[in-house]
Amino acid sequence: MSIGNIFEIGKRSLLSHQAAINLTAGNIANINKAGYIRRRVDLNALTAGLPQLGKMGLTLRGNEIVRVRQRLAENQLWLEYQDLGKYESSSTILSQLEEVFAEPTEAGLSNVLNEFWNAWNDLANEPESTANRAIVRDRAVVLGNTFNRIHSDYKSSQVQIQSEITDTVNSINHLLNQIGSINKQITQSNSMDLLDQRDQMITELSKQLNIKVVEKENGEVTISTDGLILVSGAQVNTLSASFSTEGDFSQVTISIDNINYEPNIRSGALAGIVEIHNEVIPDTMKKLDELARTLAARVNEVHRQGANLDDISGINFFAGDVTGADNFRLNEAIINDPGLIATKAVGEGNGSSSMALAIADLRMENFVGSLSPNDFYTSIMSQLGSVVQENDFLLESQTMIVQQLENQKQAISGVSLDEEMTRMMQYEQAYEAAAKVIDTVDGLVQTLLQMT
Amino acid sequence: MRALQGNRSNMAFLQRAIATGKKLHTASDGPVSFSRARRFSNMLSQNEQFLRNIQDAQGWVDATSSKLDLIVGLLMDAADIAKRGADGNIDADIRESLGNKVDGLLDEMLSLANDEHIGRKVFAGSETKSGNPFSINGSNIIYSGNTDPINRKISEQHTISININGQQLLDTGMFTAMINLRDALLTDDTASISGSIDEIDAAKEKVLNIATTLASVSNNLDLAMNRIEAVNVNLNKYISDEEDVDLAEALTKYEAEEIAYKAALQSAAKIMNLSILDYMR
Repeated sequence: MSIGNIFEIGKRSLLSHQAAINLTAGNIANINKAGYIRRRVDLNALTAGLPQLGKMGLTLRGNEIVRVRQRLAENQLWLEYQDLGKYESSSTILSQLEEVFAEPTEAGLSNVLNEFWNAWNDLANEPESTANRAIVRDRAVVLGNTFNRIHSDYKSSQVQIQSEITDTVNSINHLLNQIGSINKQITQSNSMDLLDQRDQMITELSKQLNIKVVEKENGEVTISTDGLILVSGAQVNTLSASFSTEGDFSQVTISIDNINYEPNIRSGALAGIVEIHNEVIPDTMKKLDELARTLAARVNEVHRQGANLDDISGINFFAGDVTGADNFRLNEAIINDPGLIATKAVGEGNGSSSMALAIADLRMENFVGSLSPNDFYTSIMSQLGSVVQENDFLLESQTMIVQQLENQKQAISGVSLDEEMTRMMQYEQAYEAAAKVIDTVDGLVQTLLQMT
Repeated sequence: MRALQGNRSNMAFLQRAIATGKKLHTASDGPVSFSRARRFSNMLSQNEQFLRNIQDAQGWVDATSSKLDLIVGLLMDAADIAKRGADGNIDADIRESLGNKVDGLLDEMLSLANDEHIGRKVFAGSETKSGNPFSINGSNIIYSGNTDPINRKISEQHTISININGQQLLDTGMFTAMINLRDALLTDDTASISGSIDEIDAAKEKVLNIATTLASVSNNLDLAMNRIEAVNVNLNKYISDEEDVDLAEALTKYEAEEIAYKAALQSAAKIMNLSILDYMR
């Protein structure tokens, strides 16, 4: 046991506690930084390598600095963020899509359709009137415009989503590239800040699409989706989105470059908007198209059998080539001359309203897929409403789940001002004590020197 | 913080409900309630149309009834004249003037039969705009209308016809009776005059029968209207149940949320004030 050893202990203590205070200061400085994981000094290695206290020779061992991670909460979070991302991205767009229908206001198709049937009834009450015919034509024009508007609004929503999809894919690729480059850097220098950054990026990525994260011992991370590699070491496979048209609407496919494979994107913000783009929008519009088509066909069928006041019959009421909500419109001839509107059967007097009544009765006929036109439309609306409601509910509960996990993570990894300040005091006192030790040793040496 | 946000969004929802009086704004607020409310609305709209149809029908039926009443009056006048004409004590000149009187009654009967209701011929079947359905040529009465019914839909299951067509009038024999009486008076044919009295009475009976059937049509219309109006009251109530907000309930909830919000704000402020730095020297 030599005096030198005591010096050594004092010196190590000073340096170590100085480093500890450094670290604590760093923690406090980063208290508000997102994704920052608290650092802690493991001071157990302080006196290793010294005789009497250890078996090895004198070696300067670095202190262990530990990133205090809560691995379980982190991995869970990466999983739960995916669903949260999906519900979040879907929520706004779905509400928007619902509002296009403008229910239950006067401008909604429900009301417009009722007004259309009412106009036929009023015409049936006075079939000789030209004024009532004009009203029927006008209400039918409004009906056509409403169908057209809804269809075109949905189409432009789809275009809007297309640019959102492209943006999301771009930001995903950006994140992938960054993670890849960090992977490369980490093998060379084990910086904690780099790790913090990388974890933050993985969190961001997990909000965008469904990923699986595997961490290797050398600090590298492998990210895959649906079993296909996106990042492995420094190798990055980016995503790309390609659009194609199917009928009236477009479809998007996401594929991985280099492998040319289409992964099953089932979660994350990307999944939300892709699903709305590829499924919700076209499906809703298909149903609307069915309503428009069958309505036009059935009304025409009855109308053709009727005659107007001049005994002209066989005229279509709606255009004969209506295939859906976008080209739903009146027969040009009727727009120009509402007098062609049929109200009676051929051969009856002009006071007869048999045909007008027959058309008004279609309101209650179940000719759209076993439902009446109004009921069919209501079912479209309530189905969409259910989708929106379910998404909102899931969003709320998922937000709570994520919040809870974040709390768990923060409890361990978060910086608490009180804790750090207390430690600061401890390290300061230890520093003072270490300085005292050196002072004491100095005193011993002095005493020794004075002996000669 | 999150609890505060949740609080605020609850308050926003209640505020909106109180301001608009509705708790159902879009289908997503409650898809099942929404579709129920929609169906009720559709039924309501349909019923209101039926009420309009019934009103229109009532107008037509009332107009027809009042004309029939007047016709019956004319027939009764004719019967009186016939009885006077059948009296053996009067001479041909008086009979002639009586005959002219009957001619006048006939003209009036004709104009009643050719009358309109809001610009449409009442007794012409479905030829409502094609000029007078009845015309007289010497001693012949000619009907140029048809026998089509005029129908109105008064409920989902019921269509009723609301008109009396000219053929039915012809069949009562009222015109022939009048014409025969006039001709008999003008030609001083006492035997035929007595025969006319019975003819006119028979015609009057038949016209009264028609008036009775019309009265029961009017009755049906009234019943239908009452029934639909009662149903509408219920429909309105159902729709309100689904869509409207109970103000008292909403206001109370809002107050509660506000209090909770204030408490949360206060405690958040308190917590943020506590820090160990205050206690270190």
